Amino acid sequence: MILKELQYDFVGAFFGADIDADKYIVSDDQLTAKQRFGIYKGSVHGVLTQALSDIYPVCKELVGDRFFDHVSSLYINQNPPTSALFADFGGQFSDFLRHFEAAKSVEYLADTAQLEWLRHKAWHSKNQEASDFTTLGNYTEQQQMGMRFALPETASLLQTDYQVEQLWQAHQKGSDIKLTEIDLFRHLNLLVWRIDYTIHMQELSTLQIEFLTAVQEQTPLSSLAEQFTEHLSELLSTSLKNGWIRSFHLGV
Amino acid sequence: MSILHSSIHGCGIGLRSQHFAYIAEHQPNVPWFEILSDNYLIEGTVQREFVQQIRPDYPITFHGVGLSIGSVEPLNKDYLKRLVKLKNELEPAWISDHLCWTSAHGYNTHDLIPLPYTPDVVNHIVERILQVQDTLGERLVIENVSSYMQFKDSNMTEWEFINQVVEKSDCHLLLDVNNIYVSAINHHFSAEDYLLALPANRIKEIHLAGYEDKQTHLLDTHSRPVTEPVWDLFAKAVKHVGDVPVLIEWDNDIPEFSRLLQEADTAKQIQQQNL
Repeated sequence: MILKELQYDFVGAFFGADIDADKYIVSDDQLTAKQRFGIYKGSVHGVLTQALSDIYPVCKELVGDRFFDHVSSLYINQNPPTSALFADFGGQFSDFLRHFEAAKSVEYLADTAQLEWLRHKAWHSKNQEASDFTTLGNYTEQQQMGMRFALPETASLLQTDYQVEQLWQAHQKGSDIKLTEIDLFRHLNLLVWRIDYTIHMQELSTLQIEFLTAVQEQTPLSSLAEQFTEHLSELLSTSLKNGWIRSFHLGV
Repeated sequence: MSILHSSIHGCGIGLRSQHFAYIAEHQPNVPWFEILSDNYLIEGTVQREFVQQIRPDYPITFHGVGLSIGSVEPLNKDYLKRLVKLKNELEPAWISDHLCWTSAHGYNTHDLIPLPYTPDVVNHIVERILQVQDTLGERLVIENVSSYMQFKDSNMTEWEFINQVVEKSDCHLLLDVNNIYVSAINHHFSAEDYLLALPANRIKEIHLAGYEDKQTHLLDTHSRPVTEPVWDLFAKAVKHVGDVPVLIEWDNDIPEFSRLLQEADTAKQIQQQNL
């Protein structure tokens, strides 16, 4: 037996391909080779389905356990983990749901999944040191104009046609938000980020999300000033006060 | 001697995020924690910050899944680099992983898949353990896995395979007593024969956990208390290997921390009675 052939056949079969289990595995009166391989396939899928359940609990509640397990199994076969870091697994689930025919009746499902992924990402991203913004005045005007700001590394921006943040809140234990009272089909600009051990979600105005998008794209202060003119001062001070901007650096 | 460099002894607990808040609040009297190193490889995350906070109060060891020591693919350099960085940061007493493979062909199963037991596979594993030990600058501790299948090509017993691997690579062994019992039932061999054939002087640590009885086989779920037959086998293991640190693992349906302390107390009693 060649070890490479065995491992490639096994990995292929864990994620959907067929395998001749009898070629590799001993059968006995207790279990056949196919059944023994099935234990491992079940275990691999079990671990990954549990991971998706942990990342996407609200999506699971929205569609029910049975449908979620079914869609998870299809997702796992089409998007097997490629990273040794477990936290990386499951990032394409939202896109998968968006194109999954049987889930299209729950039109806000994919965006809810996107929100849950951004929360997961915030939890597993670096909580970096904040810059000392009191030193801004020490730089020349030319230096300041070339300055670039940065959102926290844990931060992500979300734009969606559904109020998925309210929906998410309504699905939390002890929430006093009633599902029937949510105006679900309303546009939402959202910032998701983490400070220490707490994940925050903040609805943003159109101007705020445009500003933070520009910051995220590493637009220098001079260009921000041209783009946001008289609003720049307020946008900057609100962002700094709320921790939406975490650091700055000079030049490119 | 500071906690940072104190030795590992007694019965430790596998650290799980469900218990972070309890540990932070109560600072339980636990001689050491074992962390699942794969969950701490990203810098600046909540998990990593938590371990950094408790590290001055507890000695720790690393236990991994992602090394994939039996894979045919080249060792994952990024994974190893992260592991070395974590090691330098947290100074574990030792680093362990499993005698199996978890990834191949660019995909990661995040599960422990056994290997055929042949001389070629021994040589393959030894070469890779030596590479890992060179990178880490210390001996690796390798754990026997539970299994639900045997390969047609295997031409030696699992314990012969383990003996050859640890001798040729000069690594240490993490003896999982529950895994021996699970595999012994699933493959109809004597757990005691297996245990007594292992090189006692190589055993650095013992793991204890619970399995589920699926009627056709035992499944190593780490979701139950340690069972009586495993406690019995543990008593024999203590007689065989002597005073070696023991660890309670519980990964699914995780109970209150106090339940883990009860398991640790039982382990301590059995250990004391059999030394």
